[in-house]
Amino acid sequence: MRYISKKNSSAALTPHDFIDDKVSFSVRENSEKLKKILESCSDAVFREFTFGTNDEHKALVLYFDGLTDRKEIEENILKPLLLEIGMVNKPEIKILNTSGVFSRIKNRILAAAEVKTLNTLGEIVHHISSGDTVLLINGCDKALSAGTRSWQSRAIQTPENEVVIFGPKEGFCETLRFNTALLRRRIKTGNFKIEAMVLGRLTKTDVVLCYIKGVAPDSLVAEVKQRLNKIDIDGVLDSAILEEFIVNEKNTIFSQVEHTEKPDRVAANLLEGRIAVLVDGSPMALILPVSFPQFWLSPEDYYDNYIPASLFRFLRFAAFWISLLLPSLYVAVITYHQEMIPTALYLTIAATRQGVPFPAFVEAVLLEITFELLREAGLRLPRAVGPAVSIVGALIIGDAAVRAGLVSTPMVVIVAATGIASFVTPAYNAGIINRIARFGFLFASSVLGFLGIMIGLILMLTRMASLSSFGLPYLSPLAPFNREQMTDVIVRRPWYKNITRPFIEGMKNQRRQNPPDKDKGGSK
Amino acid sequence: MIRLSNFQVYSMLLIFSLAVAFLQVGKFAIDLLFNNAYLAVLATAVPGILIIFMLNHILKKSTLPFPFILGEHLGEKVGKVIGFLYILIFLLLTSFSLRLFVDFIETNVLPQTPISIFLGLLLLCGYIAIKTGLENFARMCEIIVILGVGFSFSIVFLGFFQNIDIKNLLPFAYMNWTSFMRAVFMLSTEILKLATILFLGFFIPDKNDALKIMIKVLFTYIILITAITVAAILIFGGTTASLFTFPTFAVVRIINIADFLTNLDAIFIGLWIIGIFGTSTFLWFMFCITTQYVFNLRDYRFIAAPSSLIIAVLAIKMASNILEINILIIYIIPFLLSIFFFLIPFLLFLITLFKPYPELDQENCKNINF
Amino acid sequence: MKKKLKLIIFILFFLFTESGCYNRLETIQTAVCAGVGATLTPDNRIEFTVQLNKPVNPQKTTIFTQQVEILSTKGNSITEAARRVMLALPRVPLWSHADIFIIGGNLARKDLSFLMDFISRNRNLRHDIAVLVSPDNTPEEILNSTCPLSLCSSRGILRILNFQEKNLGSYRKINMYQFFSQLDTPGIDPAVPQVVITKDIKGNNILTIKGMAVFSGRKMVGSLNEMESRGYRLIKTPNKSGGIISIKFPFNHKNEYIDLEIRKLKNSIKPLKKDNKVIIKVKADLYVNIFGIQAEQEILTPEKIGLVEKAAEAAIKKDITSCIKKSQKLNGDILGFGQAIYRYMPEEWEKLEDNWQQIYPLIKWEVEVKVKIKDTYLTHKVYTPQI
Repeated sequence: MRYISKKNSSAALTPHDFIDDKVSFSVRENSEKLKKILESCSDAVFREFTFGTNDEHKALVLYFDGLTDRKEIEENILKPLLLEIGMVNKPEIKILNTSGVFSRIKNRILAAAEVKTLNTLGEIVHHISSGDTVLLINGCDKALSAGTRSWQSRAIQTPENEVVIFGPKEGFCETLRFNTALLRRRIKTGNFKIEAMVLGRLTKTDVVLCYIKGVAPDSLVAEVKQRLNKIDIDGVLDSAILEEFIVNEKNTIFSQVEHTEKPDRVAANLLEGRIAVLVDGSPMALILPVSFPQFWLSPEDYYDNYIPASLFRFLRFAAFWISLLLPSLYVAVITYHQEMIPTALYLTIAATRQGVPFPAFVEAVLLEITFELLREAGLRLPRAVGPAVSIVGALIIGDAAVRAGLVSTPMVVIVAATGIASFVTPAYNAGIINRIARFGFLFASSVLGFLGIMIGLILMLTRMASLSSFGLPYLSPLAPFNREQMTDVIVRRPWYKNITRPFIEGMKNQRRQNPPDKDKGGSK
Repeated sequence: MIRLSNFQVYSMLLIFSLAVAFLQVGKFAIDLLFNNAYLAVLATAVPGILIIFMLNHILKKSTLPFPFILGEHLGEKVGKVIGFLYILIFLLLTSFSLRLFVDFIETNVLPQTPISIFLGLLLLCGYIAIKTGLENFARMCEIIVILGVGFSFSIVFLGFFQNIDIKNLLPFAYMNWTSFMRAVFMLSTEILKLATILFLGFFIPDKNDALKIMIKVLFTYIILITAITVAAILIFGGTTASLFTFPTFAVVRIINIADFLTNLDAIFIGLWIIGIFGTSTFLWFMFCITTQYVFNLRDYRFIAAPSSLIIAVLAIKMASNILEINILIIYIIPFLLSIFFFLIPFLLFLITLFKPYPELDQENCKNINF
Repeated sequence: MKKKLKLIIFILFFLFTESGCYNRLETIQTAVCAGVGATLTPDNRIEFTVQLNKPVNPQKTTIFTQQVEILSTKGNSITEAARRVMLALPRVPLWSHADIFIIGGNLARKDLSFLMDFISRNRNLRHDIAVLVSPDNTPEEILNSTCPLSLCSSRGILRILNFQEKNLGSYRKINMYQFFSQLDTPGIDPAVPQVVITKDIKGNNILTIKGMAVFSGRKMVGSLNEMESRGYRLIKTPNKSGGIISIKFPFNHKNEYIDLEIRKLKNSIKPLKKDNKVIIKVKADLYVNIFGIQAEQEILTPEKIGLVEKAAEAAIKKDITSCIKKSQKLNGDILGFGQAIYRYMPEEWEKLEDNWQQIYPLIKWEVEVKVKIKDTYLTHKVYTPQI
């Protein structure tokens, strides 16, 4: 698709001649047109048959093989029409004329749970592609679609990328309906809205916007809807594609949207007044708006006891800084601020660096790049080759390089510690920010030492302060400072003190629970 | 119309008045009063509060933020002329704070690196901050304050755990009262920087909070400066402390945590640079905004790029050596500060003294675009 | 926007690259300083000595011999002498890692002012290093000697200084900033531990601390012996515990001793006015524990313990008195009597300050010592083996 040059054609394919045609009265005509549209679609099934006591009605059942449950078609569509129609209508055969037959079939005969009336061929094609079965009856200028969607899909599994110890372990899968069901099961209120829209000229992907009415600010919902509607692209294959269209600031490495595979995480965010966007075919939900400090929070914090959870959060906070700054601090310290290292440590470092031919900066960059290579290789390689890569990585890079005197041991330790710390960050997006920014800091520190790191931090801070995600300042509870919300970022606030939701511009209902009754002396 | 929260205004005022002061103000006092320097710092609260009430009064009786306030009370033409003087002052102060910082870095951390590099880097950071606008700069200031004040207090705290001699503070209040008055005057000139509330005070949700904010700033300022002055005296004794160019920095240099973490000056300088960045950028902002007012420009952001050159050249050329800088610190800058941050506000104060309280004219403010 | 971004990246790139890493120093270009020393040669030039650590290879087993290099240079001034090290050393010395500064006796006895200006101005040499005086040897000889179980004599002697105060309590360590603070503050003079060379069993030169150098004005005027040093430490130390006192057994006149360990120590020097004259009152309050008794009779009874306390008081008083007498004899106000007058009676000090040098040796003082015995550790009786 992306190789189609822009000059020669418009973004849309030439529409098929018949695609906007109305359903005609004649089944044969419809069938021919549909067959033309679905030419070379080997998975399309056209089942023509007749029904009625005297076989006076010709009909056509149309579906895509593999997207539908064949048994359901047989049981709920074909069987009632072929067998039971005679019995049901025996006393009043005459009523079953062409005008009444349609509503009759729709209202009384079809046993499918979900039935819709369709008017154009385009709709028919859309519905059968979604896995519905379409019934065309001779003499009716409408078609009936019965919900028979059923296809092989990945079962609901524990998400591999967001492993938790406490709390729910379900994860989203590729089927949108299952995903919305997972959410609906958690939030059983009519106020929980799942607004659907179709995006993608060719893919016609279902996209839903989930929010809780009255909690999520209306202006935010309207804004997101408007931005989503503006998207005009041929295909939406994953939610991440939407992200780039709807965020405020596009030229930045700072992710302004949170991705998650966990329905409980989505539900928790919905309860805080945020909006989730789910896309059919993608197990990743987008949560917006988010601020940067949110990337440090793991959903697991909220299921664990708040004291250990707060300590873990502190650990993660430390890991964030380690993975961002440790190599650059090391380089700055050993090439500019040698007086800061305790003497005994400096002597050891000096001894290990004695034969190393590279400057500290080159050494650090080499090792960091090697680490990133190994990490990337580990992700992409087939399972069977994975261990081999890690052995090579550990042996060749770690041991042989040190023995050959190419790198010093402390540097290996530093890079390894950085690597481990970077895996601690719960949000993958935040990890990516660190991985990129780390090299910038490394460069700055090699040139100006601490001063360089500080200049880098100022620039990064300026950039972050200037970002906002859907009106929410990117550094939100930190700047603009909000003491009440900040307590839930630094430590994990105990649930009974979680009285208000984090503020999002336009939010009306910020109260989460009524404050404990003071007259009764609290509930201890 | 920009909106700032109370804490943002607090942070901006604090950075503006404290960042430079933390390093050098204790020194004035120690130079003049030796072991009783902290008394002068404490005594600054009195002129400080008077200044605050004066500023608050002007603030309440005005409807327009700082550069416009001149036109409002002094008439359009006089306002513009004085505004022009303010442009020069802000330019000078920006250069001065940068130069001070650069000299400090030169003498203490990276002596071989040319100062143009530091100037260039800081100006670049400031330029980017101005481009992103005052609101974003305010957000940065919040983070800087949270980090910086925390760190400054921990330095003082660690300082108190070194080999200190509490008797170094004696004799209590045995000093030359003329020196005392001079020290109080010197310290008060730094507090005069609070006058920028006349600009910031109009963007907080409730103008009446300005008084509270200023008092908070004053007390944070006094507590921190007192603490670091006392720490320097406790460690070195009054006579020796007065020997150092930067007593605060001397304290940092001897901080020693468990005989393992020593020589933390690089970290201190690293964090202090953020404070200086805040101060100089804020001054630069004021310069741009005043220029916008005086010359009736539509935007102020584009002034940032050309003015950075002037600031850089001025910073390099303003003094040829540290002794000249010291003359600037001790005589010229306090003089300028007391004229432009005290006398002119005082004039406004006298004018507004008998004016009625204005109707709160929000519309008027909204028309001004920062 | 794009253009601007490119411009900013361009500027950043040049700023960073043009800054050219002026101050960069790779570890292999550096040498770690352990100790420095300065003295005066007979022809009145400054001799500067530096002890440099060899990097320690963590994979090799440690051998306890000196892992150091020593360089000695001469120059007309201290700065020149120190910089001349660069003629012999292919690395940049990291002065900030030095732990001790040794002032040679020749230099100390002559004039310290120009040395101290160098040290207070120099940003590389840290102000928290320990100061020692070598009365008899040059710093080079001192740094060439060893400390047992130490890879480097500078760091060894520093540790000796630190540990002895806690365990033995004879001398008091002085840091550089305290040293020059006391040197330039009127009314107090520094006293600095002296390092000397002795022989161990194998005949090696090893370092030890012996006595303290007393300064007066800007030069060294004499030394305290160990007993006087102990007295000095008891009144001047800010450490609230540590050290032992051995007192003669008070109930007979045999050569028997009781050892007391100091658990808590409170000391003060305050001026008093008696008959219109300033008198200095030196006070020391001690809580001690009994660490050892060399005796044949039971003394741990309420009546006798009071006598032991009295004897201890007398012994400590003797230490302190001898220290004050010595300092008055040398005319070095190491105890800070002048400073005490300034602190508590600033008006008096105004009158005395100008000729304090003449007043100090004659000033009257009182010593008051209080000792309380608190604990007897694991046994509560005197251990008396059967005869």
